[in-house]
Order: sequence, then structure tokens, then C-alpha cells
Amino acid sequence: MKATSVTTLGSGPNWQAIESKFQRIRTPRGLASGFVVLPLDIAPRPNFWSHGVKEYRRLQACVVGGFLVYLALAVLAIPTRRHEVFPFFCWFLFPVTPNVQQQFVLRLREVDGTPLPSTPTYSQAGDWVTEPQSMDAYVAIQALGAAVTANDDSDVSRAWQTLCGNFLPGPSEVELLRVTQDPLQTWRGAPPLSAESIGSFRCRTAAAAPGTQQ
Amino acid sequence: MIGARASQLYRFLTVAKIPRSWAHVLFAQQLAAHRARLLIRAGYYFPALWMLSHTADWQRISTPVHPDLLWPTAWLSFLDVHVAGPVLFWAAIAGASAGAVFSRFSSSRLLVFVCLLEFLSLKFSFGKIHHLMHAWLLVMFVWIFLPDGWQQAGGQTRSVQRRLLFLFGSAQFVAAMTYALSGFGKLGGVVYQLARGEVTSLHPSALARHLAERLQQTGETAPWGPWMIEHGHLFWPLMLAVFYLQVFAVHLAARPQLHRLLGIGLVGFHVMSLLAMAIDFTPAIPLLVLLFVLSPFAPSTDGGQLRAFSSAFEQLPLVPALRGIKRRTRRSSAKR
Repeated sequence: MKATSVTTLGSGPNWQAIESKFQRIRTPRGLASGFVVLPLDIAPRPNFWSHGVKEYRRLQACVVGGFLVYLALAVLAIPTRRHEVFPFFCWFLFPVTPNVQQQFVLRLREVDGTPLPSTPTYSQAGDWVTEPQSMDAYVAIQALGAAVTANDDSDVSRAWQTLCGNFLPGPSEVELLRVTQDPLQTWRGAPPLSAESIGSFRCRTAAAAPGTQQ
Repeated sequence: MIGARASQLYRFLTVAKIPRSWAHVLFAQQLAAHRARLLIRAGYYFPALWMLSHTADWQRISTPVHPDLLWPTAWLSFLDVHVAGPVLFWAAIAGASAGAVFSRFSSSRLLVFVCLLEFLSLKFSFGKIHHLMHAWLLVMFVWIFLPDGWQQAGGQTRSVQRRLLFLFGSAQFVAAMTYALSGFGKLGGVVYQLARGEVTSLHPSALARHLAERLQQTGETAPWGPWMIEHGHLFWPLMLAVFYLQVFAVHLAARPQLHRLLGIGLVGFHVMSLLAMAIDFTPAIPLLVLLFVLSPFAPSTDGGQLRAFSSAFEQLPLVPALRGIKRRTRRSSAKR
């Protein structure tokens, strides 16, 4: 809303200008007025009757600076191993639509020295693992697959330690598969386009008791 | 009490021949500050309650595990994590609970933030970092800077009211920013996939693809998931609506008259993602209700909620432009 002020000399305060100022408080300006300052204009701003304008401005600068630092750190954290440095996160959730894609699947071959006839995938192995539908376990499997594909020994060791120490039943042998599939077609019953084994691992320690991770 | 004070103030100002708009602004500021005060006080209890509802997790930490510790809890690696971890776990819950009760002190608010940071860091040191409490953490950080005296009912100075409202608005901005970043990420994804010739979010099968992928990742079941995958084309416009809300979240957060619409839209999004994808982002719902649905800046509806919603809908970004196109099309077809 454009303010229209009337200049009056010697006739007291310019009420029209004051009113237009308050009008602006009630109806904040649009994006064109400045992207960063805009959201902070929701709250009434200091005016000529105000006290503590300096403190208010300092607070405003701190909050705007904080937002910018958060954004910068969130973007800088993208290339890191976890793609974020807690709690700085770029919030790119579900940015791409799933097409034909690669995923890593863990199959349990042996538990406590007994071979499993059906070699179930981790999410189907409810009889042997404590959290078959854990998203944490899924992420650990994907991290292990990515590390094996990249041939990065230190990452493989770290990812395997997380998986074996937290999610797998004690003494067990597993096989890691790289599966290429279209999720929608697989959901409708079509077999994966390809599945290849990329490694076998043996876990010697027992996993922890189940938590309630979400 | 606040109502009586406000009406006294209003009478004084109108008798003193001060223009109605000025009195109205003072009254609105006082009322908004009062509402913001109550909302912030209520908001401080939620992190403690959420932490208390996850007490079962301490078993995971106290048993022999191999956490991949995040930096805020990296200091635990110098101690015995199976002893120090549970101690930190319970201390964080106790600290956040005490801090919520004494939230009028800045040191207590700092304590709540630190306790929540440590608790989340410990909880998410086992694989995936979940984001369901990130927005709460950011809001708790912003509210550390609340001015002294913000909790005094009716006794706040105008300066305190202004800083209180500013920080409430900043919390709204922080929450909206998280959704806006997600929206811009999706926008970037559309451009990227278009360039690669892949199916994008703008394709009617996009929702079904997202649901199918998510449900197959862990074999989890969602009550509406399978049905929505089969009828993905019907629900795809809802996905576009969420996309729109996310991209314009900051824009909407800067317009008090659109706060309720934004809040209700995003709450609906979280409810749907729980029912269709089994993604539990429920802690975001009370935050959205506190910040947007009950926004102290939103204009009073005076009982005409439906009218207020339809008027807010008219003010949504792109809606006037779409109406203009429709009007011009009608005019040109009438001329022919």
C-alpha cells in the first residue's frame, strides 16, 4: 500500500502520515520490499513514540544474521558424508521423483551358524532382527552400499560397524546386493531390472535392544 | 484483565482525541503480545513432553552399541558412552522440563535449547538424522532472545511487546523457511529431472512413485498408502498444492491474513504423509498450530471463519493472476 502524506506546517502532527505508517504494520509489504527484512516486518516496528529502538535494531540484525549463517552452513554441509551437519540441514526432502534407480539390499544368509533357507531381505527378516522396518537400518545399508561402490575402505568400515553393532543379530552372515528397479513397477509386482551381489559380510557381535526410533 | 486494560487504554486514547487508527494499533499490539506470550509459554512445554515420550530410547544407549556420535555429543567418546550416554539422556529430559517451567529466565530458555540439542544429537547418532524436531530446535534458539519481562501479564512495556512480537514473527519465519527450502529443493529437482528427460513432480504418476518408493524402502505399512498408489492420479493435485504451499511458505508467513490458511494446509500435509507414507512428522503439527493456526497476528474472523478463509484464498499468490487470465479469456470469447 502506497503511503500518501500531506505536509502540514504548524498544524500539529501529520496524522495521515502516521496512519499510513500503521497501515503498513497491519498489512506487511510484499516480496518486492526486500526478501530478508520482509518477514520481520510482521511485528510492529519502532516509531517516533518508541523506546529501545537501538536494542530492537540490534535484535533484528542478530536474527537476520542468524538466518543467513544457518542457510550458509546448511548449503556448505551438502557435500559432507551425511549431507548435513546437525542441526544445519538444507531441507531438500524428496527433491526428485523416483524413476529407474539403484538401491542396496541386504540379505541374511546365516544367523548363529545356521543357514537361512529363504535368505530374507533385512525388512523381511522380522524373525531374526529386532527392527526390520527401521529407517535407521535402511540408511545404514544404503551408506554401506555407497561406500562399497566408491571403494572407500574407511567408510565401509564405519558403515559396517554401525550396521553390525546396532541392527544385525549377533553372529550372522549377510550379502549386499545392488538392485536396479522402477519403484512403481516393482510395487505392481514386476521383478527388479537387475540385481547383483557386491559383497558379503560377517558380523560377530550382537545388536542392541530395540529402541523406538522414528 | 488484559481486556479491561485494553478497553481503558482505548477509551483514554479516543477521549484524548487521538485518531482511532493509533488507538487501534496500540490495542492490537497489546492483544497480539498477550496472545504471543501465552503461545510461547505453552510452546516451551512441548519439547520436554516429546522427550519424555521417548524415554524408552535410553535402553538403546545403555546397551553395547556403536553410535556414530554427532558433533554436539562427540565429547561422549572421551567417556564410557554406555554410562555417560544414559546420564546425559536423563539430564537432558530433566533440564528441558525444568527450563520449561522457568521459561521467564533467559538462562532457562538457553538450558531448554541445549538440552534439546544434546538429546536429539544422542538420539540421532545411530544411522539417520531425523528432522521431525529440527524446527522446534530452531524456534527454541530464536526464543532464547526474548526480552526480560515478556511473561508479565499486562505489565509489559511497548518496547517489550514489540520485541516479543518480533521474536514470535521470527519463529514463524524460521518455521516457514524450512518448508520454503524444501519447496525450492523440489523446484530444483523438477528442473534437474526435466533436463535429464525423467518423470518429474509435474507428472501425474509422481505421487504414486514417491509412495511406492517410500513404502518399499523399509517394508513399512501405511493405512492409506496402497490405495493412494493405485489412485495416484486422483491425489496428485494435492501433491502440487503442497508444492505450492512450500514454495510460497515465507511469502505466506509474511501475510498475517494468510497465516491460518498456511498452518492448516501444512498440518493437512503432515497428516496425509503419516497416513500415506508412514512418515511421522507429528511434532511439527503442534508447532504449526502454535505459530500459524493460532497466530497472534492473524486478523480476527469475528465468527465469519468461512468468509475469512475465502477472502484469504483470494489473496494467495498467483490466485489473482489466474483469475485475471480467466476473466480475459471470458471477455475475449464474449467478443467473438
